[in-house]
Amino acid sequence: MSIARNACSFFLSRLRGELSRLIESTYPGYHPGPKIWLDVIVGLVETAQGYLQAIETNPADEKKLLLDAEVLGDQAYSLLSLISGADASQIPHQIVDPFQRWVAALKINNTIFFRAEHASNYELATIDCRAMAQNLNSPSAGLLKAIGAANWPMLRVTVPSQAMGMLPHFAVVAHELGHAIQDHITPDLSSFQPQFLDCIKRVTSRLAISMDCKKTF
Amino acid sequence: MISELPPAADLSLQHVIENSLAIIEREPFAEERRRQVLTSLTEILDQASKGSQVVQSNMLAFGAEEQPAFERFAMLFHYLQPVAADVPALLERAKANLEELRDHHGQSDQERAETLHVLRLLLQAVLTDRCLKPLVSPREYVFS
Repeated sequence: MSIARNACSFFLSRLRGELSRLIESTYPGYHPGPKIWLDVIVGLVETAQGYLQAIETNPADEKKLLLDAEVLGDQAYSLLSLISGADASQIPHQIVDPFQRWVAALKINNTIFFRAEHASNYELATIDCRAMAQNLNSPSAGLLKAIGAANWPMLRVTVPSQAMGMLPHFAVVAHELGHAIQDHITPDLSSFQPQFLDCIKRVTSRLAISMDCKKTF
Repeated sequence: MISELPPAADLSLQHVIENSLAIIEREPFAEERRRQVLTSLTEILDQASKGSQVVQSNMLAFGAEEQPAFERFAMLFHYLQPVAADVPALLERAKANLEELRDHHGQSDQERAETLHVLRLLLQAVLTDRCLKPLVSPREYVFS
């Protein structure tokens, strides 16, 4: 039993080490979503480590606690895979930043993260771990804190990595669609008047033409 | 919800069943925790009941959206079907018994025995399912 316990302890500590490395990684857009998700997984690992420590005070339940720790470690490992493709090497800042602005403009307050996947799939997935954390025996303080820090359900936006090369094309199409949409919704853009004038100034100075052509919203 | 793991891989499901069994067997539990455990299990059984409705009504589109409900019912049906004639009715009765226990702290001996029977089968199903799961590939550790 002590060999199994050592093996489980080793597995959990390696997983914890890998999570620390991932938390230190850079995520595009510097948005907090991936790190909040990683904190939840760290909380699960700490809970599993807590089960192993509980064996000291409760040796009669050693087998059950050991199995619980192993299963929870596997569970944490499975949930870690949900963030695969979210680091800066997979999805660039130039994709995530506009997405974030878009989400903020839509007043979506859920914790969110973005990832690329090598599949022809655009996806908006919802993730909810509240019930899971609530039902576990003796959840760690870190898990409860991480659950409390997120706005649930979490959202995960997946974009196909194959489409990255086509993004300028999407941007051109979206720009043209924006003209049609703007004509229909007639948004109030008066608060952007100073920026608009600044933009006109920069364009005219670059093109070396007069500002007589300027217009207002 | 993609975080819904297969029932056998979800330790929280095992814990909620074990804790419910302990409550029904009159082990001491803090009132708040007792209520939370019974509410969680009732919700799980409710999901399984929804899953049974999916199967009975052939609502495939609904099934795609409610995968956890369908999976929960599929697992319960798989393990309860050999020992129970009408699994959906059994789940409904277990749910009603747990709600009664949660809200009024009381159960007749028959209700208690029935609920214990269903929960023990359910726990056995989770543990058996876990044992039958194929072993994961060996993990590779790189020492630096």
